Amino acid sequence: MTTHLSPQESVTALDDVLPESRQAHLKSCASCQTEVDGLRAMMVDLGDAEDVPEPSPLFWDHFQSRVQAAVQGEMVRPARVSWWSIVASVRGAVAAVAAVAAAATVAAVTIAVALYPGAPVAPVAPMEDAQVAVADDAMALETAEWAFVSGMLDSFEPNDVREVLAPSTLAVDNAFASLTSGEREVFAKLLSADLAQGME
Amino acid sequence: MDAEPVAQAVAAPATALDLAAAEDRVLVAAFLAGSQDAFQVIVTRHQRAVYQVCYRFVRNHEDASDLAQDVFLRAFKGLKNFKGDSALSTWLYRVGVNCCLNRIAARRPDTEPLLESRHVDPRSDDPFRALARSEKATEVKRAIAQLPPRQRATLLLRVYQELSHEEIAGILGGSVGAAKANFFHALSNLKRLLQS
Ligand SMILES: [Zn+2]
Repeated sequence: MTTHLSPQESVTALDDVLPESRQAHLKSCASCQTEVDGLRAMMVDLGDAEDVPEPSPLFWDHFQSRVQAAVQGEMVRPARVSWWSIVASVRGAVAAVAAVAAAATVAAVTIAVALYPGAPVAPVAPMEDAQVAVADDAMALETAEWAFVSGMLDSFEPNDVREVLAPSTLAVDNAFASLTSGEREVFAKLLSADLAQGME
Repeated sequence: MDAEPVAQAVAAPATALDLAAAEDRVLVAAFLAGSQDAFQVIVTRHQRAVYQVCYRFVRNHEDASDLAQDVFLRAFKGLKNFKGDSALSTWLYRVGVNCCLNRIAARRPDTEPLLESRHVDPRSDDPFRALARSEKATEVKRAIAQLPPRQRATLLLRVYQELSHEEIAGILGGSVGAAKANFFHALSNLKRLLQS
């Protein structure tokens, strides 16, 4: 006679994924069968007891507004925070979608934006990353993009940019690094739309 | 040509539809980059599931909606810590369970809100059986409310959110074996509570 099922094994038995040797024990042991049957019956009772009343459709609109209001209360200078993070990220995203940059470059570019906000940088910053081979077409795009970014940067004080970007660049880069190339494409598209909206 | 997708991406701005269709991980990245709209989509997409988790803990609408709001506020502040190694929903559940466990810990048991009164479905063809089932359901819910918090959390996530033991271990901390043991004890305790 093998040992009775442990609590973990009884739970595994509920999911029907017990190893064969333990399954054999269960088949031949009335005590373990009673235990597992009892658990299974409890699961059925739990299923019957399930009811979360669906709130009214109006509730969800109201809920979103509440969350929005709570979130706004947490934000410091919301417009500017969004703005600079987006500018920095679009640049990183676009570079990566073009397959000219690994995640490391995104970090490098973002940090470059944070550290040298007012500088007339042009495409020098990304080129400093020696690992990156920049294709001609992508390079042209980057140059145009960069001119746009540095133009935006000129209109803010350096300290503002640094203060705003510093806490979140790493998080953005990390999140971005985990995306597939398809997801990066979507990401770039979303942010370019957001950017366009911000300029209106 | 390598640059073509970029040109397309930049030339054709995303619509609200694109945003609504984007993967959670893309939304998180967009949110961290400053997109408020992306956060809005995250809320819209997950609000019902988060609310349901909270409701199952507190069993009343007012507290559940307060807790759900708190979950999204915490998510707003904490999404930068989301690693992307689990589903966003699982991460939100973790935040939600923490909020609920904190709420339970802050409240003495005798101040727990009463369970909602039982509801009999009038469409049922057999009112007597419906009443019996409804009484049983009320007893079960009352028994769940008496479980120790971690057992209760394990049970709710496993049975109603249908999370795997691995996901539950990730949410509550500890090993998969411990999560299974917790589930076993939750079911056993329920059985005992319902028999007494
Ligand atoms: Zn046995």
